[in-house]
Parts: sequence; C-alpha cells; structure tokens
Amino acid sequence: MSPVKRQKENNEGEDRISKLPECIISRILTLLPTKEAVRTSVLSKEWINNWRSITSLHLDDIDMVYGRTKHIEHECFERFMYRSLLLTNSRLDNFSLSIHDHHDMFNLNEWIYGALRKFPKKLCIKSQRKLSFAFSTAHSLFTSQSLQELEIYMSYCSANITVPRSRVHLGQLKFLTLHEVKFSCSDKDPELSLPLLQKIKTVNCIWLGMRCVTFNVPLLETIDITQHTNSSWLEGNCKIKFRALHLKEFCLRDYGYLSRYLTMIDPSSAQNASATLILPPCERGVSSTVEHGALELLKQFSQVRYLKFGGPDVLAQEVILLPEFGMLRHLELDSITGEFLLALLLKTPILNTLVVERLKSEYYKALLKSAVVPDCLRHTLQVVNFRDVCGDKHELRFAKFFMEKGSVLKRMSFSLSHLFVKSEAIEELEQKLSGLKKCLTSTIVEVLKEDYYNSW
Amino acid sequence: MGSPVKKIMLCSSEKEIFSVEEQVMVQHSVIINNMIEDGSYNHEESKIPLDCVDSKTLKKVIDYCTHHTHHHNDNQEDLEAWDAQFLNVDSNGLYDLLMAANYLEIRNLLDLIYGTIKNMIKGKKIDEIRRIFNIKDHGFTPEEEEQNRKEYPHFY
Repeated sequence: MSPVKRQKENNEGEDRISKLPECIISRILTLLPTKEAVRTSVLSKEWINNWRSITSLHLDDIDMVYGRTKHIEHECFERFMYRSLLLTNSRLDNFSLSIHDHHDMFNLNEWIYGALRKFPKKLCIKSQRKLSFAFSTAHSLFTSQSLQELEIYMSYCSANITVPRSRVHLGQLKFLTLHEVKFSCSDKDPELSLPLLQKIKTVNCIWLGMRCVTFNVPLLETIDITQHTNSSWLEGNCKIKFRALHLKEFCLRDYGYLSRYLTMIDPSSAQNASATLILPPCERGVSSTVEHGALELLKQFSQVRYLKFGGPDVLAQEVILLPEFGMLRHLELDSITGEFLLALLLKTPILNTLVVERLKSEYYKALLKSAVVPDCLRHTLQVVNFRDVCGDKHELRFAKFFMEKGSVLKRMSFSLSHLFVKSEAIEELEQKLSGLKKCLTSTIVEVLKEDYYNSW
Repeated sequence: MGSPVKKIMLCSSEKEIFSVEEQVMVQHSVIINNMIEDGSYNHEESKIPLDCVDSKTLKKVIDYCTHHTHHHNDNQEDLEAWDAQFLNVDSNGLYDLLMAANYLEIRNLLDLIYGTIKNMIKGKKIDEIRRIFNIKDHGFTPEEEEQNRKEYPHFY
C-alpha cells in the first residue's frame, strides 16, 4: 500500500470540511437557503463567520414563522435582515426579498437600499404588501451600475416608484420584469435610457401623471406587456414609446385600453420580428377603429413575419384601412369573423401558414360567393389549420373555400374542439370533408383528434 | 481513418502516469486548456505533474471527464444517474475529488460536488451536520454552547 493511502486511512474520521479553502466554503454556503447558511455559524468556532462570505441573499419573512407570536417573528425577521445585510460581504451577486407580512416602510426601504449598496447583479422583490420606494431607494435602484436583472412582483397590491431624472437608467440591466408597479415622475415626458436592456416584461404597470414616457432601448429584443385592468385608462393615460432597433418579439395582451397608447418609434425595427397582439373586444360606443388603437398598432407591425392576432372585429368594417403585411409568412387568428379573415388574407400576399381558432359563427354564404380570391391562396398558402372546430356549417363553408381556391395548398387540418373529441364526431366531419372538391388533388385533409386547448 | 487521437500525460502524486485524450481534458479543465493553448505543454516530452492529486482520485477525475465528453448528448436523466453513481464515495474520497477539481478547475465537476455537499447540510439539525462532517470539537465552552442554544433555538 502506498504511503499516501495509508495516511488517508488514518485520516478517516477527521473534520475535513472545516479545512476547505474559504472560497469553496463560500460557494457551498451560497447554494443553501440563506437562513440555513446563517445557521452554520453555530457548528463550531471555526464556522462562526463562514456564512458571511455568501454571495447571494434570499430572504423571506415566511421563513421566520416558528409558531411564535407575530410580534416576535417580526422582530426576528427584522433583526435577521439587518444582520444579513450588515455582516455579509461587501459584494452580492444575488439578492431576493419576499414579503408576506406587514413591515415598516422605512425598514423595507433600508433593506432594499442596503442590498443595492452591495452591487448586486440580480435583484428580485416579491411582495404581497404595498411598497413605496423612498427617493434614496429609487435613486440607487435606477442609477445602479451593477444590476443585470431586476424583478419586482407585487401581488394583491402595488409598488410605487418615483423615477429619478438621470441621463442613463440602469446602465447594465439586461432583463426587467415588473408586476403591478406604479411609476411617477417629476417630468411629464420622461425619457428612460436603458442601453443594454434585452427584455422587458410588464404586467399591469402604470405611468402616473405623465403624458408620454419614452424608452431608449437600442438592444431591446423582447417586449412583453400584459394589461388586465382598465386602470391605465382611468389613472394614467400615458403614451408609451419604444425606441428600439432590432426587435425580435413583441407581445401585447391588452384587456384594458393600453393598445392605443403604445408606439414603436421606428416601426421598421420590428421587421423580421414576431408579434402577438391580443386586444380587448370593442365596447359599444367606442366603435371607431382609430379610437380603439388596434388599427394604429397593427400598422406598426405591418413588417413582421409572424403575427398572432386576436382582437376587435370592428376592423373588418374598415378593411380599406388595414395595412398590407408584405412580409408575413405565418398568421394566427383567434375569435374573428369570416369577414375579417378574408379582409386580412387580401393584405397578406406571401402568407404560407394560416391558423384560425374559433371562427365566429355567422352566415357566410353570400360573402364567400362574391369573395375575391386572395393572392396568397393562389401562390403561397400551403398550410391551413382550423382549431377548436365543432364541424358547424360556417366552418365547412370556409373549408370548402380554401380547398377549392387553394392552388398550392399542401395540408388542410381541423383540430376538433376538446368538447367534440368523440370518434363519431371525427368520422362525421371526415365524411363531410371528403365530399368537398379540392383544387389540388394532392392536398392532405385531416381531422386531428388531439385534445386541443386554447394556447392564447 | 482519421489521425490518431492526441494524448497528454498526467502524473499523480505517486508519480504514476496516466495517458488521456487531450480533447477530454481540454474540454473540462480550464488549467489544462490554458497549458495547451499557450504552448507550455510539449507533446513530445512533457507530463503534467499533479502533486496534490493521488492516483485513485486522478483516475476518478479522468473517468468523469471522459464520460462527460463522450456522453454529453445523453439525456439529462442518464447523466444525472451516472453522476450520482460516480459520487457514491466516502467523505474522504469526496474531499479529494473536490480538491482535485478545484486544482484543475473542472467547473461542472466542482458544481456537482458543491451541490452534493450542500445537500448533506440542507435541512439537517446542527448535531446531525456535526456528525456527518466529523466536527467533533466545536470549540465552544459548555456555557457558550448553551448560550447559543438559548439565543438561537431555531438553529438547532
């Protein structure tokens, strides 16, 4: 046996973990939940300070629930927060704070401010309680030169942040996610410059008291905006402009009134991008398309290759105003009328794939009889998929239209509504379809039985 | 037939020599990659001395790098199962591997070991952690230990 090996056996039972280099211990402790990393301070005298080298802090007030009284839990968490921030390294990679309970606003601000003073790369705040960012907190947040990722998730309430004036905001930030944040600003028309931002995702965010906020985001690739409430209309009818150069993805799910306020300063930046636009149905009385904003928004994305659209049919009545989608290869539509579908097809000369979900039931016989055959049907449209199909008359009329007129159609498929996935329903639909004439004998017609659930 | 596989020589603390595919080590070890790139390794005569890595550990490290080079396309589950089996060693073996991976800068092996040690701590009681890691002498006086337990009862 070699001498090294023999020595090893003698080592059996030795405390080797405590002898590991500090950087290794730091890496291991950083992987633990912060609470558990701190706990190692009582393992032995050698371990008292080891936890202080951790480079991420994940703090959650729910961790402090040990069945004690609220008051003591509170105090424990607050002490723990201050200790963690005071005693850890001067640099942090990652800071996350989850708040479920009520805490003093001053303390909350101190914690966030304290974390920002440690140059974190990632900051994540989740709160079920209202949060008001103090000036100093907001200022150190927006002027941070270390943050690459910022996430603020508010639930059941909102965070209020006043945007400070600055030439550059969040100079290193690449990813921004905001849920339920209300911004205000002393400027009526603020410009926010985020030079490295790649992705912005907002849900129900509001710009209070401003006329127009402009994002200067040259590297922005993805915009993802969801607005559920009407609050933007009631509280903050502020225009939002994006100055981006190479957008790859734009997604707007608007169930409020946001769409009319969104502008891409240079629409050609959306060239080659894919766009998903889900717009709210029209209300009675607000029927003018211009007022609705849908048309204006669509115009800005007329250069995209991929478009998913679910929105007001009122557009169909003003077909003439629809832009031409000269680059569009892939189109998905949700809950639209046949009229609108035909109108759009006339504006999509090189369309290759069409997906229609839940075509609205109307009397289309006359419409289709007199319809002009769109160019794409004659030259480019190869794949058509109807989804959430029930096998109704209006669907069959459109099927007939596509099959008769589609000179290059390769595949025509029908995904049955999951309510109708019975073998009889499939057979019945197959039978009805087989009776239809095809322009191209090679066109594959199929009924898909997969349970299909709405992907919108 | 392609050209013969390029090999490099690694020398353990017991002066045992291991011949390994160059690509395998270059892909995994930052240190060896740097040596090959800056030309400080001469294929004709050099061998890389690893004075702080014994033969048993070096063989394991080579096994790890070889497997991950040739099976990187395997599905995640298979790789994880292989890793778990690979790290089924006694605690001394684990530390030896850790120090070797640290010395050679094999990042994925390091992360794997860090994760394993983390799991040995996570959710355990203090006394249990002390036992697992053989921390027999915690250095606290009985009074200090008692005070800790009183002050931070939730730690224990």
